[in-house]
Amino acid sequence: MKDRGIAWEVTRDTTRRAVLASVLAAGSAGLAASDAADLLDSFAPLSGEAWDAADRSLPETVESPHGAATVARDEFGVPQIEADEEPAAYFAVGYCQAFDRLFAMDLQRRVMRGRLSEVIGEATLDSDEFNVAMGFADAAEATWDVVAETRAGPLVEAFVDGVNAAMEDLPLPLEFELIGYEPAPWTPVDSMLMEKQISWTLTGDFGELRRALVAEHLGADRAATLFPTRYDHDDTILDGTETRLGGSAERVRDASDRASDGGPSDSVGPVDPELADWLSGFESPTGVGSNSWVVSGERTASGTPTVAYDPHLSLQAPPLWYEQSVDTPERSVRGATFSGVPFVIAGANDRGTWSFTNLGADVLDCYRYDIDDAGDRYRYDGEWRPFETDERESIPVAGGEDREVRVRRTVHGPLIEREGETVGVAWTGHTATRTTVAIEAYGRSGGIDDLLEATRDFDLPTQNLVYADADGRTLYFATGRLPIRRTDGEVVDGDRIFDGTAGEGEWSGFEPFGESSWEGFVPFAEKPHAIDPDVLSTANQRPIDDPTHYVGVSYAAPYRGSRIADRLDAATGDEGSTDPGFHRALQNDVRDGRGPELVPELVAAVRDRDDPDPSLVDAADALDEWDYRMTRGSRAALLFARYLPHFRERVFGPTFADADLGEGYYPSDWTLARLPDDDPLFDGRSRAALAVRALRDALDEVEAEGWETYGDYNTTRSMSHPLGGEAPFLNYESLPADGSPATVKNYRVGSAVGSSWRMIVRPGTDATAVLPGGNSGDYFSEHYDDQLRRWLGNDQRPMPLGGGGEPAVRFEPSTEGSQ
Amino acid sequence: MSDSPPRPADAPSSADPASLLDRVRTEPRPHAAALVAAVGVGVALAIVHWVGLIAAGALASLVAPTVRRGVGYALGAGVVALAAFAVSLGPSAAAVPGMRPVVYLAVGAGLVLPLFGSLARAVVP
Repeated sequence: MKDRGIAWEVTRDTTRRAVLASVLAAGSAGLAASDAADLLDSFAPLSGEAWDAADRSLPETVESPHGAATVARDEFGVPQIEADEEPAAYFAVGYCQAFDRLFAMDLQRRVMRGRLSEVIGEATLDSDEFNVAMGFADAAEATWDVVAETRAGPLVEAFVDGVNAAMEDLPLPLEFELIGYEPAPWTPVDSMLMEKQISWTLTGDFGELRRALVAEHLGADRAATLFPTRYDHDDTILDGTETRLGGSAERVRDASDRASDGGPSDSVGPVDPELADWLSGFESPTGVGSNSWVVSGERTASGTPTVAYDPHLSLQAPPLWYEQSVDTPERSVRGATFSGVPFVIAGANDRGTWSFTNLGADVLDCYRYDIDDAGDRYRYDGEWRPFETDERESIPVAGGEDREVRVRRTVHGPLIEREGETVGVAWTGHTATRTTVAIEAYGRSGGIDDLLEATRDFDLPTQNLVYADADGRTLYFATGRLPIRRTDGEVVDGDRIFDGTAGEGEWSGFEPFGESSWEGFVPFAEKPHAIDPDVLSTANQRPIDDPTHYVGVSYAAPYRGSRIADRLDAATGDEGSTDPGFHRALQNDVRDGRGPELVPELVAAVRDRDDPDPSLVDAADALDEWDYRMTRGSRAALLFARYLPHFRERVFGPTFADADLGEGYYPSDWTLARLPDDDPLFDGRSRAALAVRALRDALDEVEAEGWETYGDYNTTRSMSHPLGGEAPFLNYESLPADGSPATVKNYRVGSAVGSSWRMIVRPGTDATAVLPGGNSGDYFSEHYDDQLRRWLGNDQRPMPLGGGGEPAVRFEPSTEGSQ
Repeated sequence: MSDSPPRPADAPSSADPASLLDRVRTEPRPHAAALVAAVGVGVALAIVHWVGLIAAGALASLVAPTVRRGVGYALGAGVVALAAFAVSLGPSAAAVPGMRPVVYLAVGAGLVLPLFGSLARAVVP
């Protein structure tokens, strides 16, 4: 019995160990075969491939087929590139941009090519369908065909070689491992796509579709009242007395002859609201704009002109802008560019400084056509004709089936279709544009004459160029091609939907997806400009009253523009002068011009009530004492910031909801502040009562959220990384911020738009700048967010020209020889 | 002639695996050497592939005198692997704790996989 017991114990022990061994073996094998294995392959300690990204550093030496160059990195990680040959320098630029921003570059080209879904999945299919239908990639191809033959062409190619060399040499950034793909080689067309991307961001505007919808739903008169094409103010960029280019004032017509002097008169009906809404989703983000101003040497303490600039674009991690410095015998230039673009876009060289704010010009028109039932032909010029392009393109989708998109184009440009509804689009960016040629030339310009000559090639986007040089010259010029539309030979404005079949709104000299002659566009010398202005500022307001040619109607309310002009006038009047400290302080100005327009009526409305709630009275008292500054520590600023959206909703909500028009269609705060008490929108409701109710709404919201001051609500939380939803550590830290959508120091917490770069430059003397985050897109880099706090306080740091200190990288001619 | 007592005919020789394992589990010096070697080999394997973390736990636990201590040794091997991981990251290591939720996976794998490997100690008594 005892032996049997022992045998039983041995057997049981053997069985137990066999089972455990099986569990160990099967568990290991099962884990290796499961989905978890992919995660472990990426993130397991020591072996995880993602951790390679933590060890990315620039090598000490790099072989370059374009020749020798050196790269120093300053304390903010800005590459300072020095070379004797320009292609060698731009190879290094490409290498550095790829090192710092490869994921942002790849993501942006995927967006523009309609290839996001290939790595993200179905969530981005709408965006891909739009971008494929718009044909941005084909427009970039046409652009490269032209740019390749210019002086900029070989430099773009050297840049591309540098990007691809970095891709081969260095571990991929973390984001590629998080999503799980590898980027394709960079091409010159990809760099041209970056130009299209920023141009679209600044000029992609389907405003005429929205205006037509509003007019149909609310009536043309109400639409004209609520959405004025011209805000009533005097703070235009130009007052008409400025010096113009000599001997080139020939006009197509006088301003008074302009065919359209009233509201738009559409000969065709509005597009389907769903199509208009869908297209609106791909327009410029709300709030895109900028500030810039120039003060001549007569108005500065040093006698040197000063340019101040801060473009208001999307704020994200990493920033849109990338700072670089290039020093060659041909140029010494430093400033900001978009990753993927070889040349400094806004910045300074040893002779001058240049900046751009959005002009708000109308360079996109919409057309409706008679299309046959099969959708194969459209009627144009008196005949049914096949589409100029009619193809099907497949969009790959990660984890799903490919989506097929029909790409059709008319003589004007792409035809966009949504649920059977169509609209044709003509956009100046759909043709070959030479903006890359212009900005390449800016970098080596020797003064205002060189800059003006280069600006002739600046086809898109339409911008307010503000410039000053070391000789004391100053300049304002509207860049970009401005279409002159003709219907039956008559010039018409572009603020309407055209009947494409009837030949309305034709652009002469425009060849979509080809090379345009631009012969029917506004001549260079007839665009708004000013030579040697003394003091001039731009903040996206209309450039001039009664321009010779129609420019556009999408101008900003003048809150920023007026504030800047007032402060510049005060500082420079009576022989006054300014210094860089003044300009940085003006960039930091947070007085909200909406405050004095809207707060007094609110305070009065609360105090006029018979038995006001004590909390309302307290709020009104705080607002009454407020200086209208949107500072992070202010409770009144918080109350105002939250009162406004509730007041908008109370005033516009009912009428617009009845008309099936959403919040995106609400009029501006400028209009809201000026609505008379008897406006039909109030429909018998008291404006004062609505104001008090809106304040009540705001107080309830503030209490529910636990906010005490403006900085509790107005934070950097929205400055997120594209993958920040899944990997929140990539987002920037949430810090309290100053500023509002209407202040000079511009910040929109709701849409993450604001000052995306700030610089102050005294040409030929010195410069300072700051980025909203850091120059590196590498999460592990010390330069990922090392400027974020400086940016919050506009604490700019020096932006010197030159090659910098001890090289961190030496690019050595490859043994295969220089190209 | 040696004064040492004659070895019983059926006693295991020092080359016998069972005897070797017994020594490294019971004698302090061989035990320490074996533990260091086991963890070293395991971490080296973990550099190549995450299965190495399981191996690290298994090897460390095998030199433990008891199953319970084997579990502790495996966890220790995981901690050593995580420490090696932190060192391998250099200055970037400071950014890793903020990488939620990725860091949970890394630390979890660094501890749980060796723990799983410690089952080996129960398989080899």
